[in-house]
Amino acid sequence: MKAILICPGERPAVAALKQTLPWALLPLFGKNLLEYWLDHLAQSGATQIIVLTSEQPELVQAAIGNGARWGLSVEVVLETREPTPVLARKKYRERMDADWLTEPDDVIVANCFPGLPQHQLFNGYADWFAALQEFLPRAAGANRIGVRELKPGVWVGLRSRIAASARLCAPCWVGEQVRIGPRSVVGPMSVVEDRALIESDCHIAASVVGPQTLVGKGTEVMDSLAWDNKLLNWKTGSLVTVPDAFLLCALGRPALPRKATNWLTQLNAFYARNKGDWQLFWKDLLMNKGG
Amino acid sequence: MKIQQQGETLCITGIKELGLANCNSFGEEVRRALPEGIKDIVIDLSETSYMDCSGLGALVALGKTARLQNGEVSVRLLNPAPAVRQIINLTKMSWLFPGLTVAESAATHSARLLAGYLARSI
Repeated sequence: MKAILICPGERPAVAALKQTLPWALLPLFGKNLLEYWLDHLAQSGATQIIVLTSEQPELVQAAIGNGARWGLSVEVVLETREPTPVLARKKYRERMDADWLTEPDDVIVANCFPGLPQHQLFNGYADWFAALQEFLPRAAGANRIGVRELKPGVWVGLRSRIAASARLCAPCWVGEQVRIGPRSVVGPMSVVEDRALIESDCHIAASVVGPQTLVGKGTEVMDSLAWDNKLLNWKTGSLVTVPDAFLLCALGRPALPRKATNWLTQLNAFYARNKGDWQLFWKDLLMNKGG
Repeated sequence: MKIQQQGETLCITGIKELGLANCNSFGEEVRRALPEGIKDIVIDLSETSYMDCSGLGALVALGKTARLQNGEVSVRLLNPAPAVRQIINLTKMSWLFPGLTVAESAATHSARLLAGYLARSI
């Protein structure tokens, strides 16, 4: 069975959330939208998926590979702009006229989480947050490894360390390798993405803390999306770049999926990166030999 | 930046930015203009587009200096822009500034105080 998955293109209503990654690869509860949809399509009986993207196809390809992880065969196709489901159906179903999933499941726009079409992610910041809240209990699905429900409505990922005096209030999600310092309160209605660091005496409620984000000591994050050094109030849409890194900052570059290359390409890239050093090395060697 | 005294109230308006670059000069300027007997300092932040922790520290220090000099003095922030309000909330400093809400501007506040003063005088 075949299906088409369309990656979201421009989404001006939530433009401030846009990172360097395409929308479909933005981490949500530690996974990206494409992964959630491929999980869903594999369970729906699909075997071949065409992923249509209008930006950075190499990143999309690197993130999902050939789909073998899901037992799928995935082809990533670059489109000049995001096609509508009607256009996509017309273009690709004619080309591959074998068996397809039934309409409308044959063409999916990754605008929402699977099973939550009424909660669109990209209509606005409040909708984005509402969709995350709605999906929170489902994020720890049956095929999620390592996520534990510490108490009803509180999920914690692998290798996270939570201080004994910290408090987690349901519903909340704490991703993998998160550190939460003493006396901090996380929740309710909060999501802390993977590898975030919450220092002591913080208060996070009705908010999302992005991956690899530091929330400094004594900081209060309310009704906001805190991502790197950006603080976006999802109720008002107000965005501020926090100038003080000890309050809020990025801990490192987001881990981009690595492109699979052979050893020759890697050697070539290594040489290109260190070209100056190599030239100096040879020059020095030759001069010393001559002297 | 403009500093005006209206009775027992000191109104500060026209602050464009309050950060590391100008927090010292802001503090100095206000402290120089801080008269005896002031009970209320009103800072209009409606024009302030940028504030960092140094700026916030300058506001807290100003309140402390005023209290040392004149006893009980309240520092009120008027109309902070959403971005400035976010920084204040992020640092949990809002409790230091009572009445931190979208309120009348300092000019309107001054006018209201003046009207009250005139009404009492007449």
